[in-house]
Amino acid sequence: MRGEAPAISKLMVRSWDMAFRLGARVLGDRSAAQDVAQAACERALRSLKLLRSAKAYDAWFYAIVLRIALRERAALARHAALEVRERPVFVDPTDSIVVNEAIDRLQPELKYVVILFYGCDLRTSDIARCLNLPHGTVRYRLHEARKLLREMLESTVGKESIGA
Amino acid sequence: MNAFDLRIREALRHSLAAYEVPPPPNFLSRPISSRRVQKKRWLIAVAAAILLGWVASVSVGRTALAQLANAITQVVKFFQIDARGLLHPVASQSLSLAEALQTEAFHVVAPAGLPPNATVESIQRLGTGTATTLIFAFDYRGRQFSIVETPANSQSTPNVGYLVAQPVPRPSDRVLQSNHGTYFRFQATVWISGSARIALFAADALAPDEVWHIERAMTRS
Repeated sequence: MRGEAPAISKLMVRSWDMAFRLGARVLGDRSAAQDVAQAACERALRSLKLLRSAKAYDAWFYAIVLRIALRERAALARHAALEVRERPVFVDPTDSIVVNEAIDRLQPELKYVVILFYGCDLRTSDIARCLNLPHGTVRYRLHEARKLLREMLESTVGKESIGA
Repeated sequence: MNAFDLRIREALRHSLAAYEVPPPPNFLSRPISSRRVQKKRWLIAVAAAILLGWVASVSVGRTALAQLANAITQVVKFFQIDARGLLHPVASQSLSLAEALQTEAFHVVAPAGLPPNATVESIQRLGTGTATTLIFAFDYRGRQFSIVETPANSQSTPNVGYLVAQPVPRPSDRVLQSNHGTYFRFQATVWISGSARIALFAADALAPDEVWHIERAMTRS
């Protein structure tokens, strides 16, 4: 990971995209997501030399993004004058809206596991490292989240359309 | 992964893909080493506060500061502007370049790599000792940019009063009002050169390659 400067720059541009999307999904605010992406990329640049395996980059970087996003969220929430929007600002086809609304209704600790697992394609072991949690806890949360999502979606659109 | 999992995954991926990602900041999209941006984050807020304090101290006044805040659009980080600073403007001292270069608190790096038509508008000094701050203000094609130098090893922020501005932000700006003060977005390019910490506030006065040229010309080990 200590390659040439252009390679690092290319990696950072890709990371910016990853960070913005995850930040926006967690915070539901483009402007705040931009701040998160900025801070995460700077942090990643500073710490890049500590990363031992290039394969671990995505999980490592998502962990940085998530930590910063959660801190940003807490900071925003502290300012009473600021409105922290719970819903992300995107437009989806019908089914996607229903599913995403159900995800947003999950408790934060379940929601972030779901986003990282399904949205960012991280393995549960990577998520455990990301969130600094035992592997078993992540798997339990994912299981709980699935169960709750299934219940919510069943109550919203009927059992037939939930899937296997 | 069963059908339910696939449905969740597709919905989440769709939501993530639906975001229109803004272009990354210049410092990410140009060739960069992982080492060069070390120590940048908190310096940016300090340098921006210093610049605001300077604007207040040279009695450019609310109007000019409002214009400045409006002009600086690309943002690195928030910092807070304290309304109480209005009551205590900071005194500043005008200098010649020769006098500025003799500052003892740190080894001043003379501005270099500037565009050919850039002219010096003023050189100001704030504070003394490790809190010494030099501000070089330039005019280039009718727009202003500033180079702010402080000691690289200074652990203390210069005693700078802040000025509350009432900017008219562009739609993309983030200007937030709260009970605790006003928040603005500012962008600076900050780097360490010898014993000086240098911040370049260019707003839209300089193109990215011009900023890069100045940074390179003013960087030394």
